Amino acid sequence: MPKKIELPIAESAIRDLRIGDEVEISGPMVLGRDAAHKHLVKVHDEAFDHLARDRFLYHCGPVVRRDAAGEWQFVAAGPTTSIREEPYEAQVIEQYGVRGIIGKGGMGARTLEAMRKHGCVYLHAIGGLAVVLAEKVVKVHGAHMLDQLGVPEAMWSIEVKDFPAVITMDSHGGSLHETMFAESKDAARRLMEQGVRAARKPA
Amino acid sequence: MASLRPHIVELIRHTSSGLPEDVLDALAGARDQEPEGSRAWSTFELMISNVEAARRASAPICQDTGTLIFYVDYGPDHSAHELEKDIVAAVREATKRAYLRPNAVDSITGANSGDNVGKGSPYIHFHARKERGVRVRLMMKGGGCENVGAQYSLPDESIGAGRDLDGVRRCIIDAVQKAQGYGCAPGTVGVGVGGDRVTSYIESKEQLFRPLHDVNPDPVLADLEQELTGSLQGLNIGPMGFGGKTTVLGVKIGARHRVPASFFVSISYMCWAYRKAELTVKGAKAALDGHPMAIAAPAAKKVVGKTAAKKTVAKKPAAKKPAAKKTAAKKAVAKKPVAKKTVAKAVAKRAVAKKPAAKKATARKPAAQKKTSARKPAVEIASRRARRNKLPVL
Repeated sequence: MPKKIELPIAESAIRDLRIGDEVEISGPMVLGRDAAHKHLVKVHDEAFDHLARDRFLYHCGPVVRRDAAGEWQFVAAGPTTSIREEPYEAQVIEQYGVRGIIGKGGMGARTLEAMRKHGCVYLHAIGGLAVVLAEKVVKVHGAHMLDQLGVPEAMWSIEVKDFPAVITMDSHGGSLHETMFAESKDAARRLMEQGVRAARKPA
Repeated sequence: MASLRPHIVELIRHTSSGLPEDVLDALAGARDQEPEGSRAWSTFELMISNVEAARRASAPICQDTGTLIFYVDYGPDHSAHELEKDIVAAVREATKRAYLRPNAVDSITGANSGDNVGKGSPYIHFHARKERGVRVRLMMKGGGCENVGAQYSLPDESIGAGRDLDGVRRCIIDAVQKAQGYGCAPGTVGVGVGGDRVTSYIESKEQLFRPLHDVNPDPVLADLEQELTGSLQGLNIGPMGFGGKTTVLGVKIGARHRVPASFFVSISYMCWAYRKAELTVKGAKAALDGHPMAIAAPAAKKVVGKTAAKKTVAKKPAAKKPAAKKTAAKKAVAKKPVAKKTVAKAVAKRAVAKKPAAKKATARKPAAQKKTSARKPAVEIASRRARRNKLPVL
């Protein structure tokens, strides 16, 4: 059964999570991707700090719609590739006290080290699961820097319920991505050495 | 020739909010190979239910609605100029209706155009043909999978790839291994061999328009495709890189002549959300992926917000062209039930499955439906949901 996670969350609870754990997240979190990260390491953004501290940061650029009452709705909101934020994420985790990064594809050594040091995890969501994940967004509070960054890049403040993810990097130095990469690399080498098997010779 | 704009809006909606039959079948097949309840199994299960939810909601299956790649073959009764205008207008309208995310960013200023139109966007490839009518193929390719594409210049010592078929094979294996789950595995691998740097990549993209289960007319490439589609599964990358028995859905290879000095191998990786569709128009007849469609005559009624398109009164054909401005393509789609072939397939599958499908379908929450009552899927799809009692655990 998936573990239930309620946000905001304490460091001790984060330290209990291990790679391979399946979780369902509920509570307030914030979105941020490329342009937001670039901005966040240049200044200290108090508004973002308020939205991110002891909460999760979701790498996502949603498709949104505004209903008749002027309320924002998420139409499609799956994760984007996280590795692009590798140059910034370690600093963002330290500076803003983020307890979890949600995205896809995992992140690198610097982020893993920051997670170990400051108590943070990486939560892998399923890429392309846009509608199912948008349905987990029960409330959209607003978007920080919407005018400057545009819809996909703005820092959306949302409330989720039972948002599914898998821990693939934990706060103890564990990374499922490193293991997968090493194992598949060995397999690829072996496969290359087998050479062209069934192929007929070109005429 | 009447404007094809409503047809193209509908083509975009259909492409964005669903997957081709062969891809859905492949995902269902991949799920059924995994132990029930495993992480890989639940991941595939969620992917399939996402597609079904997207169809119901006419919402994009993935928020990255990608690069819009149009391939247009047009006869003497159409003009490329008019078609381009229709496509650009349709893209703007589809963005307004949230079928597409605003995805065109000025590379120098960083400004988002807001309507998916910009320099080189959408990408439209025109090809004039002899027969009358027009065929518009659309592929929507997300940025995550585009970023894991790769181009090799052979020989490449780092992977031991020489200028032969074995070298080509090594490039494909290397690219799939490096892609891990980043490109939203399991992907379909389009490969272009030869050409120059540009045309080699073009070939790799054009390969992705092929159906998943066709056979390459070149027997050498057909063998290589078949072998790799089997053996790449051994990399065990699995859905999203979580590990599992399916790493690729298919490998499609095309070759072009090259200059003696160059030997490029270009790889375009297509994510599991493999969105593509085909619109054909001949005279008054139009079809979407082979299913007849009828587009309502343009109505003067203004569309306001998402609900207004619900019921377009299309009593009289618009007298003047500009009236076509706010058409409602949604209602227009012929509500043809599931095509025969699909039904046959679904029945066959059910026969193998342990339990009847009926129960599960009712157990889903109708959360998506509230937004959607107005939107009729162009083509009904048979449910691929696992016929089991357990809910996905992921």
